[in-house]
Amino acid sequence: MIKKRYTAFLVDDSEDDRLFMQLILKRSSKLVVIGEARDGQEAIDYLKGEGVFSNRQIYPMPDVLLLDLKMPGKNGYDVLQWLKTQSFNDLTVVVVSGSWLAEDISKSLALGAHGYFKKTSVKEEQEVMVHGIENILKEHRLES
Amino acid sequence: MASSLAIQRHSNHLVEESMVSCVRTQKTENMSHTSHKANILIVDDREDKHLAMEAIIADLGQNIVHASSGREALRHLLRQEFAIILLDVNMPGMDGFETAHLIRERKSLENVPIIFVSAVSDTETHVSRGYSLGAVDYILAPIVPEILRAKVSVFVELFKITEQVKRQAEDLRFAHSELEIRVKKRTEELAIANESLQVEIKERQRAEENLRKLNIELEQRVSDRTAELCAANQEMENFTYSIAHDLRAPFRQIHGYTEILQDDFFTTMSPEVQNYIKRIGLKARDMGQMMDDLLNLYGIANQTFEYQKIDLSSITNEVISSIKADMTDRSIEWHLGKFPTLLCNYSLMKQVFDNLISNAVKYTRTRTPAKIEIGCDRVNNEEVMYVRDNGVGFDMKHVDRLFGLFQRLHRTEEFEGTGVGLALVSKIIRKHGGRIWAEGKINEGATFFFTLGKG
Repeated sequence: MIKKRYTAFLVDDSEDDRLFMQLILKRSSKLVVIGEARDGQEAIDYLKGEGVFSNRQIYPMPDVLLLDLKMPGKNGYDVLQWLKTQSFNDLTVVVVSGSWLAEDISKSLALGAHGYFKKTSVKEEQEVMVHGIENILKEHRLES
Repeated sequence: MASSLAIQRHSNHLVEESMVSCVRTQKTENMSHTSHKANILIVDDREDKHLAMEAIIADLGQNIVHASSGREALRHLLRQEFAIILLDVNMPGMDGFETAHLIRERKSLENVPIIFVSAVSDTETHVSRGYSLGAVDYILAPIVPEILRAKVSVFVELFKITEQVKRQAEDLRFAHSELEIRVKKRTEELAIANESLQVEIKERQRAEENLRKLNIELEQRVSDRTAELCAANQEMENFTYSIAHDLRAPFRQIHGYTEILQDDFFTTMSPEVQNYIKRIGLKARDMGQMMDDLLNLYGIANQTFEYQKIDLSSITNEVISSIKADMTDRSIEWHLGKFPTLLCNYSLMKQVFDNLISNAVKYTRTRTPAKIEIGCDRVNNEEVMYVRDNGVGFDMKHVDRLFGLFQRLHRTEEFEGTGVGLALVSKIIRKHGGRIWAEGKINEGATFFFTLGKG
């Protein structure tokens, strides 16, 4: 189902990077951030909808998960692994990481990520990323 | 018996004939090679016959010994060697034949020549008795002097020749034993020389063996040391890699904040603050870039890459068109040559051309028009690729710093850059087994050459 606006959920242990992501996504009319998690476990708890997160009015399921890889405790790969065991067919997952290693990219995609972007402070590159996320969302929703 | 007698008589006759002719051709002085006198024994009981015979053979110049009986003759014979015995057949007591028989019994006297002196009338019986004793001859009385002389001189000659032969044999034996001694001595000397040579050879072999062992040891040490160095080098690269990785995020974030400040708070900042914020941002971005370059540089060291036969023109065309698209405001004259198809890795070669051509573009910024030539020459059976520009060039004095890490030959204010690019290009070329070098002149441009190895 194609929407006009998509909700995004940020997962990153760096407060700075979460802040930057918020500011970047503000420039997009199609994306709005609805929540953040500081590590993999928090993300999984939110997505599971257990405990306090069971209230989906306050804590809705996002359309897209913007996932960092290197986090203490459960990292991005752990989240991806867990997602494979679930069946969130409407959830688009995009990895946004500081690493540009081929092995990180291929492993992420192999574990089910729909896209992979490198964290950047360069405005032009940030624009490319935003458009990229929007396109991935559109494509994913078209398929389903 | 009769036939053997006939033969002996016949040969006796022949001997007589040849003896006479011998005497005729030979002078009595020309007796033999040696002045050594031979002994002649005359055995007869009658003194007058002794005298007569002596008279006949006296001028043969030999030593004449007289014996008046068989026994006396034997005594003489046992004392000396005789060339010939003139033996009277008719002697009282022991006659000539009995004497001859006795003589012949002695082993040393088996072959001494005997001439029987016999009366004509006794010939038939005497001859048969005599010849059966061997090495005998006959002379008949009355004695014909020439015949006696001739017969005696034959046996004397024979004796002397035999003596000479014996002497020569003795000399030969002596010379032979001398020679044997010398040979033995020489053999011993050779054996000693050989032994010392063997010792020397063993020493030489030992030294060679030692040298070989040392060489092996040395090679082992070199190989160990090389492995150590490689490991240390690898460790250092890994270390640098992980540091670059950890440092990149903070620099990105610093740059991110300066961007926010410049975007949203520009107007609240005084010009000085604006300036400083801008500079902070640039420095942070440079550091991030340097980290990225380092990561790129040390990243390729560890990875294995696939090589394929690639037409290099496709890479150069791609790089140039992408660069052209980025700089529409520059006037650049492009000269593009033909490129071969070589075994290489696509993305790595793209980085090489991108880096070299971008550098050419960067360092010709002050030129109008900028001339950039990219081509390939075949030199010494090798394909040599080159990128030439007419830019600011560099001082050849510093050419060996060109490919070093973080080494820059130009100030950042003039030309931006982190000093990692050429180090990366150099690493890629070396990974392909090739070589890279550069030529330049200040204000006259630079040319970068490289080859790809056999792959």
